[in-house]
Formats: sequence, C-alpha cells, structure tokens
Amino acid sequence: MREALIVFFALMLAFFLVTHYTPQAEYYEYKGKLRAYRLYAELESIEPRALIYARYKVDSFLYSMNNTACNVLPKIDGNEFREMIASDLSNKAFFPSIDLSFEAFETRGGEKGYFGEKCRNGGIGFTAKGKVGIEDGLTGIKGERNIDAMGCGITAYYRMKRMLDWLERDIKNAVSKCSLEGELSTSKYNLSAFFSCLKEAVAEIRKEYASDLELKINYSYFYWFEDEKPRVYLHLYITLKDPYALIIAKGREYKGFVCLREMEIGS
Amino acid sequence: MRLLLALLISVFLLLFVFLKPIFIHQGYQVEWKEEAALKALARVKELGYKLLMNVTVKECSSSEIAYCLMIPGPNGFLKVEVSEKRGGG
Repeated sequence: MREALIVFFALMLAFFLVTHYTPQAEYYEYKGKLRAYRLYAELESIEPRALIYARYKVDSFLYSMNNTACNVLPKIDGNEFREMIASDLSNKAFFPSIDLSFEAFETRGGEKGYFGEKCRNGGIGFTAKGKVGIEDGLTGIKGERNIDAMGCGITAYYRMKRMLDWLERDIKNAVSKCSLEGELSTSKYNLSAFFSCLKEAVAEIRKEYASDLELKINYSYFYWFEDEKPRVYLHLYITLKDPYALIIAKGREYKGFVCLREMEIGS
Repeated sequence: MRLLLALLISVFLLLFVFLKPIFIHQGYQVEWKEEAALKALARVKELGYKLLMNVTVKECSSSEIAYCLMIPGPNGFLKVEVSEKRGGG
C-alpha cells in the first residue's frame, strides 16, 4: 500500500511537471531574449559599421587616384551601405529603417576619430549622420539610434590636391615672369637667361613648398625660332608624395601615396 | 525490497520528466548565441578599420552557434562563434 502510494505521488508530480512546466514556453522566452540581444548588437554596431564603410569608400577612392593628377574630390555614396544592411537584416527577420548620410571633408589635424585614430592636416575625414531604426519581425521589439560619428584616414589628400593646384599656378607665373625678364619675346633674345631664371624660380618654389610631403619638379624643353625670335616649349612633371599615407584596399595595406601632374607651356 | 523498488520507479519517473526538458532545453544554446551576438558587437568596435583587411567571410549562417554581422564595403560577414566550452570566439 505504502509503495503504491509513493509511485502514485511520483506519477502525480510527474504529471504536474509535464502539464505545468512547459519548456517550450520557456524556449520562446529565451528566444525572445535572444532576439533582443541580436537587435541590440545590430543596432549598436551600425555606427562603427557606417564608419568602416566610409573608410572603405575613401580608401578605394585613394587607391584609384594613386599615381594620377589628383584633381577629383572624394564623395561617399551611402546607397550600398543601406542596401547591404537592409538585405542582411531582412534575412534575419528584422525590419530596418535606415536614414543615414555620409560626407567627406578636409581634416585640420588633431581631431580624433571614432576608433581613436588621429586625423592629419589636409587628410580626408568622413561623417555618418542620421537615424536608424530596427524592428524585430518576430517579437515586435523596436530600437532606434541617432547616429553622429566621425572618422578619418591618414593620407593628406586634400592638402596634396591644393598644393598641386597652387604649384601649377606658381609655375605658370614663374615661366611667364622669366619670359619677360629674359626678353624672350623680343628680338634681343636671351635663352640662357630664361633657363637660368626658370631654374632659380623652380628652386624657390621647391623651398617654399617644403613640408612633410616630398616634392619633385622636373622639366624637359625644346626651342625653335620664328622670325628670328626664340620659342620655347616646356613639359613639366610635378610629383608629390605623401610618405606617411596609409591606404587599405583589396584586403591589404598600402603605404605611400603619389600625385602626378604634367604641364605643357609654350612661350 | 518492495519499498526500494517503489522508490526507484518514482525516481525514474521523475528523472524521465526532468531529463527530457534538459535534453530539449535550448536555453543553453540560446545563451551561447546571445554571447556570440555581443562578442560580434565588441569585435566590430575593437577591430575597426582592420575589418577591411580580409577578416570577413563571404558565407555565414547565424543559425549555428555563431553570429554574423554584415560589414558593408567589403560586403562580407564578421563571424563570431562561441564554442560549447566557452573558449571560442
């Protein structure tokens, strides 16, 4: 009788546990918690991911501009970011609303980026600003973040571009000054005076633009006579190198960045 | 002897009820998955631009005990796994 009672109570307890203790319900509770964690991770990582994307775009731009004239300014199109994030979140059963805009600007030096990077004078800075919201399609949990973050790359691209523009202007002025001083356009031509003036002017320009960037100015020429007056054709090559530049492209780091400008001047 | 047998049957019955939920209990897996999601967030912040250097993978499934964060740009996933011994990452 006592034994039967023990088994009966055990059966009753087991029945109670089976009917009232529902691991499935607890599973959904856990699942809901997991969704909340995942939503938090997705939402909280939007800001750093937006900056990583911006840096990717800037560095891809720099990679394509290396060894060119550097006369284009960088732009960051945010469409790809929105599309990729939205597609991934949809696959995870989240409903995103992404209103982010990206902008590139010139850094002054001394600013600090989101990841602790120090910005350089004349470098490319980038911002991600806007609002991002994510709703969980399974539990209905919602989250929103206001994004306002800044990052930068170390390559002094803006400064290099500006310097090259000024160099072109200054070299043109120097050539025209030397043409007049050497009276190249008159019959009292003096070619050696012209070239000596040009050499001095280029040396002066090199000194004036001395900085942490490496500048090289080379030129070639030929001359001929028209009505006994000398005519000179100059081909100038300006090479500006940023030895501290660092570009991440195609999955690896590239050090150094070079801009090249060519000028043709006929007098 | 009969008492012992009755006790054994009772314990077996209760164990059967208790063990079944433990086997099917997914709370453990869920905890690891939560950890993976939080680790993924921490690693994005920690790695920063280094994520642009072949750290991402092209294929990733968050249904495993792992979490995959999409990294736009290189368009890959940062995959963070948490092993059952809690040593992974």
